[in-house]
Amino acid sequence: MRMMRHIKSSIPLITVMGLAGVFTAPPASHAQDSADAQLATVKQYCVSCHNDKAKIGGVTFQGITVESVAKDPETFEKAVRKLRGRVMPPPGAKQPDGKAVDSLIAWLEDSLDKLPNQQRITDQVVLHRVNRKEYENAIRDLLLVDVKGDEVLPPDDTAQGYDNVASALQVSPTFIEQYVSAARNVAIEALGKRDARAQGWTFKAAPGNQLTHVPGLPLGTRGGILASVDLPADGEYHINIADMATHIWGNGMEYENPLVVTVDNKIVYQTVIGGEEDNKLYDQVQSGALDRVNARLKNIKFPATAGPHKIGVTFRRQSFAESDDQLQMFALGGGQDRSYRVSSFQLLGPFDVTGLSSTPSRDHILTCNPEKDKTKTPEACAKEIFSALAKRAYRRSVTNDDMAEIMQYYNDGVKQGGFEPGIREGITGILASPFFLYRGERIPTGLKPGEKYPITDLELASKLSFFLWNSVPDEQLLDLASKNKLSDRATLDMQVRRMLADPRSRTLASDFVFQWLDMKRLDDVIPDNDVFPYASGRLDPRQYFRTELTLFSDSIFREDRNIVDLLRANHTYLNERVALQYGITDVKGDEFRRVDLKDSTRWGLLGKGAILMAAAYPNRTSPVLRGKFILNNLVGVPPASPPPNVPTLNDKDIGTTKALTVRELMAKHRASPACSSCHTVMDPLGFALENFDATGMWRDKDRFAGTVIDSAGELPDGTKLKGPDDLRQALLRRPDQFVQTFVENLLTYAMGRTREYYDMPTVRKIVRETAAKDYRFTAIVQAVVNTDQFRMRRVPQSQPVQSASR
Amino acid sequence: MFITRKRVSRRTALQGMGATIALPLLDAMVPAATAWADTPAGKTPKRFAFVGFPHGAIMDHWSPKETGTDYTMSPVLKPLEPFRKHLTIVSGLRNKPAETPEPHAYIEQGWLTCVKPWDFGKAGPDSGVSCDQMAVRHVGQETRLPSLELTTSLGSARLAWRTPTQSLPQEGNPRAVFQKLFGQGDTDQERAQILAETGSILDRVQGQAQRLRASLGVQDRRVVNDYLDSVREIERRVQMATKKNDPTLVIPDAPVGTPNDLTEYFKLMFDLMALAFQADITRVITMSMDREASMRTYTNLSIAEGFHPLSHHGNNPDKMDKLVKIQNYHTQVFAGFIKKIEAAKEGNGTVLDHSTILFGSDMSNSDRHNNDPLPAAILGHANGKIKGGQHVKYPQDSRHGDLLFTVLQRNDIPVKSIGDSTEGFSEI
Repeated sequence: MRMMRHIKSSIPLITVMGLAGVFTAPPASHAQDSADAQLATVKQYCVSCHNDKAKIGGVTFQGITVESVAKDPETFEKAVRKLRGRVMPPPGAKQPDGKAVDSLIAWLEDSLDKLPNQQRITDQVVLHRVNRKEYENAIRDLLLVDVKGDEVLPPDDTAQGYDNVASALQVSPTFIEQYVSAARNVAIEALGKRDARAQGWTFKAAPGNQLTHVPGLPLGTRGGILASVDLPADGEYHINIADMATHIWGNGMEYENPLVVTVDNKIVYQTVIGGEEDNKLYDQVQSGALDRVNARLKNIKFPATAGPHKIGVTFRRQSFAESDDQLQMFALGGGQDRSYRVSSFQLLGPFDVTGLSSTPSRDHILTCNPEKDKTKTPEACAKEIFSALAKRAYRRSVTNDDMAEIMQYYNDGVKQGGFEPGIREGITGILASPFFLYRGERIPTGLKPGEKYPITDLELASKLSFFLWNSVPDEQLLDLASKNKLSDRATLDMQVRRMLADPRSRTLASDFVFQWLDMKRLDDVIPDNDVFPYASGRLDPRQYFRTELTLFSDSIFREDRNIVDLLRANHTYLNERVALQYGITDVKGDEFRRVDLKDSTRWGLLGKGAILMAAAYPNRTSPVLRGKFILNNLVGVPPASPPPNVPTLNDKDIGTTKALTVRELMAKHRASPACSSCHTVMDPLGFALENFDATGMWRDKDRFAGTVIDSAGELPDGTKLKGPDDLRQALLRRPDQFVQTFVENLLTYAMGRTREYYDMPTVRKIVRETAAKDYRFTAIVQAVVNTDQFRMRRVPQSQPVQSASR
Repeated sequence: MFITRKRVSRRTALQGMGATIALPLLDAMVPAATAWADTPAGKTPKRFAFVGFPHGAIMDHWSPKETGTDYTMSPVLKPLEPFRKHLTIVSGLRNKPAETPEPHAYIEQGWLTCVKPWDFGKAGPDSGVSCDQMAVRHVGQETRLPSLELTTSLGSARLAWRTPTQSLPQEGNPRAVFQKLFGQGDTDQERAQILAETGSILDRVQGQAQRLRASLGVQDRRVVNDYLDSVREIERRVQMATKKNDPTLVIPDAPVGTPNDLTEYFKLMFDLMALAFQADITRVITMSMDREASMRTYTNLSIAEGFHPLSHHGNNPDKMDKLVKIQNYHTQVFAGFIKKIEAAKEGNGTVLDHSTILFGSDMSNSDRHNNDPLPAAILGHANGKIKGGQHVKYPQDSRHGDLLFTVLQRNDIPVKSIGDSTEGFSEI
């Protein structure tokens, strides 16, 4: 129903897009203009600042000739970028007309693209260490074990915003320690432990409303905690729930609060806190009463098998109000402090281990069991298991040397306790091996320094899977690669399609898009409770915004749409919380679902809460940050960094106690000459989004200044804007600019190295070629995969003679 | 040469990560090798502990009536009677620069910094750095963990400030603390086995790395060399760890989790503190026995009110009586810690002799949230530089910061100022 209703509204948009495309004449059509005319444009508009004397920004174009471009391509790539973003000449300076700029861009790009000196794109990429996220995904794919990378491994460094850039992934003793200990723990978790000793896990309630249903717990319950845990063995486990009876005057004690403990959604324990009996106890026994009530929350015993389980501790929902307090509170879910809540619980065990049941991980790993299959010796079984695991972990065929090493581990384990400890040790060894932790590209022998060669099919398989899945390759890829069939163009394109269709490619949305759009910042923008009581603390929408952005991007990728749809698509994914933030009232419940958006201000990335919030401050909007985000992440023209010693805006500088709108604050800012050159470009872009507050909610008025929001903005070229729709339309008028930014970023993520000026001709080539394919996502990915950056290398100039293996 | 370089980088890495990442086994085994016995001859270790309790004290039950050496022990401090000669009670101090009308959430941040939280960093880069962390700068590098931050409450208080903007989170789960101190493995036997396993893993990965290196380009070989350097560094630590050079120290089995019984919980955490000192895993510990505004009920003392509501006693004698009971109980469990380290021999003295321990609160009268006068006592002798055995009473408005200054100064920690304090006390 929902989708049907809104299809109509999207039709005019497509028409508008079509027209916009017509009006955007490709810059290449001006290429015939003579070079002299271009040089004249530079001399007329650029040299007044960029001359040998002033050398503003360290750049001079004085005495520019046709040969200058070839001599300093890096500078001219920068110049093209500034021109494309229309940020040079700066606003206020004398401007060439639009045609002249397009023509100059076309000529410069054409000259740059023709330069012969592009061998550096095939330079060796330094040996790659798996980062946290790759480790997490690889462990899941290899062993069906969920590990949290940020809990077991040290943080990874980033370069150009990406955490998969090989040169930034250093190693220190701390890494080695943690990789070794992670390997051991993962192996135990994968196979369980027959001699596991009791240990404890503590689970705390998530921030959120304890008066409403917690997703995943049985319907008809309120609040509580749902914990996922991987138990090491079959046996008895104990639960201790944090005390609930903590005051003698116990609020809510007059009502019965029925509490249940569930294991995999089956009730294993129930009790009641409060009610007439407890009330009497409180009156008559006082301090002893607390202990007697709390005792019902302790030493709750139940048997459980090894493997993953979901353990819930929650209350049955009552048919009457749990508390009167919330009626008096302004915030949704207020007053919960006065009704009983599960704040945390501790799980202990296993006690009295009875065995090790089958678990998904065990079934996946123990494909051969000498106890069941008497035709095979334990050693033969072990080899069978290890060769399958090591092939995927090392991403190549397993050699005799490899197997001999793994079997050493196996034998150590067998001495400790037989077959299973042997397998466990073997897995530990595989996961601690540099062959698993590093991926590199070998230099073939017999080539001259500087000579180009394709990477091997197996290396290509690894590159592809870490690019598209952020994880190790699967059997199919490795099989094709080991038969040298993967590098065949048709096969490769087909494999890319298959991999993109696989659920694992979700990482392109959750990992690549998040890094491209700098979503790390969202972690730091903790909404200020004083300013945003409706979107902070337990109402903080950030986690749901992240889900929305992931699902939205994934839908564009998975449906193989034009990636410009990222800017303009009229659908998204909402749950009740996000919908409320967007002023949509007919989406109910915690589950996300696809929704077509009537309100065009919410279309595409610019209407998404995650973006609006990440480019704001915890207590106010920032047209600067939003403007910078648009320029840097969508248009691909990073503004210059602010000069040193720039004060932040505060009351003292402003010299008034009157509440100012953000626009007024910014005006103070731009009055400073040091700031104005960049801010006159950035701020007006951000102003167009001023109707979205810092938590992404629509507003017509500034609540503190009491004035109507003024969303008038301006493009760097002087075009006037009003509101988010205008801004989006303006960006859509030059779709190739957005596509170029997207391709640049995707290429960086795919290469695993920083992007350099000499990569730009490749980027432009991909943009040109995929234009004919409507910038479809698959076409762009295939183009990236087929670049020389991805597939070719050249022998370093100073390659020493190969030494024999030591 | 190599070892020095790696040490620096490891240290940097550790600092960068703060205490958020549980340290794995190998690191944990180093203390055995760097134990005090190995440090330069004649240099005794300097240890610091700052043990705080919230909601102040009923002051006339905290402070003894008489001053000097011949005083009658006060009701709250009674459990410390057996350690009288190691005890210095310091009365009359006020933490004026950290005084704030904002109760609880902020007051604890001023206890060891003597600065209001919103003024951190304003008066210089060290304003807002807590005195324990000032000590860490000088003694933190000598042990594996520069410092240890603990709590026995559910939440984490913010006592320790490494910089004016970075507070160090406290750990309250005894199992997590144990693993931080001694690494993975629940028993001695398990730890030995893990150590042996790790030894063989490191052997084998070196062989693999050599094979990997042989087929790579120059740049990549550098990466593998870095990897190998790191592996060898860890190997060195494992080798040292297997040489146990303090056979008298018995490390108990790892605790399963947080005990339900409060007294057991306190005892376990204080035992872990004592072990951390004895095994010389760290020399600086801050410990919050509870947090401000805690709702804990001391049903073991037959007190049914929550701690925080009770702390607003309104001069009700019954409530004040109950608070004295709780405060006395806190002293009692704390005394268990002092007993342990007094019994622990080290060189020519005991661990307590080499320690300086501040026991006190960030607050005075909890009914009014004031900081004047603060309950404070020092235990230990700072290697003979604190005499102990006395009750010193300073005139009203004397600086609490001067006491913190004294603690550092007597341990030869160079310090310019702590909050408003620029000098120590000579009487202590």
